[in-house]
Amino acid sequence: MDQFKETFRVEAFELLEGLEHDLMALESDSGNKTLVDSIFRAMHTIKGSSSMFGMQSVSRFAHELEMVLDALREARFEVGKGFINVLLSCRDHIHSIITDDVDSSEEADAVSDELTRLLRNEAGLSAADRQASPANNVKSNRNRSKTTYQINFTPSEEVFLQGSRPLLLIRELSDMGEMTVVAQSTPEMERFADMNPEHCHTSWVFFLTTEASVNDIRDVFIFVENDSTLDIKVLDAEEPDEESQMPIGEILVRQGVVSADEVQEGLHEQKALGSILVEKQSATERDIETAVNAQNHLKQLKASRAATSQTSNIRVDARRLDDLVTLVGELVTVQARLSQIAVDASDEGVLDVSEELERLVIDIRENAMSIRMLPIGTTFSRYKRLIRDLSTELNKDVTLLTIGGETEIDKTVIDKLSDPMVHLIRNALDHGIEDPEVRRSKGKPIQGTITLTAEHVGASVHVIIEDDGGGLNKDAIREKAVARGLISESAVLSDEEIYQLIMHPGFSTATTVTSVSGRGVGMDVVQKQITDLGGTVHIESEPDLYTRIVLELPLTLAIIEGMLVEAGEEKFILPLSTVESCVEFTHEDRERKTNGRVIRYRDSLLPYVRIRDTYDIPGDLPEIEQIVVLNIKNQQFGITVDTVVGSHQTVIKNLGQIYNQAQGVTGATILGDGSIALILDPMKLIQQSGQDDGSYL
Amino acid sequence: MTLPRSADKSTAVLPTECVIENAQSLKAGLLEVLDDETITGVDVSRVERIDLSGIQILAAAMTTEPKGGRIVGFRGSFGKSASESIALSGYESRFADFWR
Repeated sequence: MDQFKETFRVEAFELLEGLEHDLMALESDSGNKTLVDSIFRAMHTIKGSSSMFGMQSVSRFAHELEMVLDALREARFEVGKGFINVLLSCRDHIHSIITDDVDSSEEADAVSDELTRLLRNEAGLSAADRQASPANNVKSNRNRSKTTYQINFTPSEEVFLQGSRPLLLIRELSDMGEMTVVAQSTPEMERFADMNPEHCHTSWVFFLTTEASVNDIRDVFIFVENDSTLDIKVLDAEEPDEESQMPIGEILVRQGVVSADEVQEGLHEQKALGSILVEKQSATERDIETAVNAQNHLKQLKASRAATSQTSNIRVDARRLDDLVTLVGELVTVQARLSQIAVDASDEGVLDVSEELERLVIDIRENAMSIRMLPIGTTFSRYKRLIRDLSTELNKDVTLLTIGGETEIDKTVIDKLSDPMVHLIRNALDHGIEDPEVRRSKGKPIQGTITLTAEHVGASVHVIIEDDGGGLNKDAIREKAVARGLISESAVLSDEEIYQLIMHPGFSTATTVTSVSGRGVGMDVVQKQITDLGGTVHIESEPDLYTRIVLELPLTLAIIEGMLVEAGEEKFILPLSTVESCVEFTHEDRERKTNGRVIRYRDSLLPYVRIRDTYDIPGDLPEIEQIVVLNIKNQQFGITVDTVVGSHQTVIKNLGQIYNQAQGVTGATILGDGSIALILDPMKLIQQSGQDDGSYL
Repeated sequence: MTLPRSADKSTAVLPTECVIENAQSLKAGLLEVLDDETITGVDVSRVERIDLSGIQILAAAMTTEPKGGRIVGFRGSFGKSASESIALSGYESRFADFWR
């Protein structure tokens, strides 16, 4: 049962996250009925599922909230900021109860009661409004005509083990109107000795006459729907055809107004069937009008079905995906060995199989990696709440702008990005964005803006956190660094180097410590977390204009497409996505080289790094070397190697603590012959090389 | 789990709760009943709570032919809450045949 409770927790957290997102959206789009429905459904699901897992206090609390939300669905009050504030607090309260896994405590119940009271106040609802349950509301406050539905429901065989109780669903359904239940059992029940008593062997057809809508009915099944078969049809009407129209004649026959023969007779005449039947006094005009209304009803039903249709998804434990990617990594390595053996053996048959296998492995690898890729926008929405709450706390008016939310990045990277992003956003809000009065005095808009941007750059993803605040104070940072003995008073530092000082542990220029930031804890943690991810942190700033923190992150932590190169006996991998071309570098070119280490390339000068020099690789130079031309952020530069071997699927292995600081290296990989190749970070390599001899950068 | 027997040993007595938590033992007990040629009745009068798993087990057991060509039927009546559950489940009409 524990595993199902864990599933409940995971699903509840997802629902709460979606709820938070919808509430934030509702705040700026208060009339959006789709959002209101979505919020209601989330609360309804939380109520039902928490009840099934024995979290009665959550279920009771969610029930209270659901009643308020039902009133909102009925447009009995308007959404205001106060209402959203309290409902967000309610959401947080549920989150904390489920997180703590302590269902009932006096303290939690008292908070629930107080939040319920506050929410009802914000909604302007009286105690009398507490009477009706959603199911009862269907009967009491909707002025709909009754409809008879045929509901076919087959729950998952494991529905009991998942903690669901089908009879509770049926009870809720029966509360909606008049219902006849027809149970159908599976053949397994006919073999009692073999029957698994913990499985569900029953499916149902319900005939329900009710004022409720299809969505109301669907709400009842909402927390078992994913694992069940559910089909809701309006009785006496078959599935509408492509034009969403049941012929008028058929409707009239089904209603018993006319016979099928009368319809056939009428159809032979070239007139509208309704007119003919009225002329023949087979049906009254009212009968025809009713049939037309029924036809329209079917059209609306079809549209509603289309709107509520859901994509087919399955839930997979993230650890299973991690295992899959690890196995694919092993497969890639083994395949590389096979390729090597095939080349060595020069056997065409083996070579064919090896190449075919390589193509399949590439497909498998791309599939496996794509499964783990998520749009980073899924995390951006979380920060909207953070900014909203913090700006209220700090009496600042700050809005969030997000760009490139659709940029996909490995889930592992996204998961580890959350903490540093929170630190950076808190800093931006507290220290970056000025108080409204200060902004006004500077002639800036009172509302500050924090912009989160994500973009693919080569084999990396750049996540940029930018605020349009006061910028970093270089003098203050420098002064503090000198006072702390981090730099000497005479040290000559670039702007970027000065900004990097704020990432020393305990470094803070804030004169006051707030509950938000300013304790000097944060930026060092940010740098460590980003470095652990194989990324880097860059800081740019202009006084009174902006501070921009650029997190340069690897696209994935698992497998990349690389280019294998050699220098002496050493082998290296360059990210293939950064490679633009390869050009020959002859003995004459070497002779012509200037101390600027540039060569002429396509009518411009191309700076380059000699990999042999960088890593002190001994041995004779070949007559003709190769320069691999890389393009990163529209900047070209070259890396000189002995030979270019070719593309290579690269399973990234961590270098470990000892080699973590190796110059321009991000990891290593195992080649088909069992040897090791270092994976280069070209940008770092060229920056470090330039810094070493001052030739460029 | 062996179901308790009535004083004259001809009737097996169902527990107060026939639910998923004791589904396995309920099934085992009813299999014994079907094998025990001295039993002709199943007393349901103590059953206060029954869920769908319990309903399915009873329905499956009572439609299985007992050893020796006997007829085994229900004795007594279910508690109010259990009766409601059976009605909700859609098995009510099928259960009506089990008092024999």
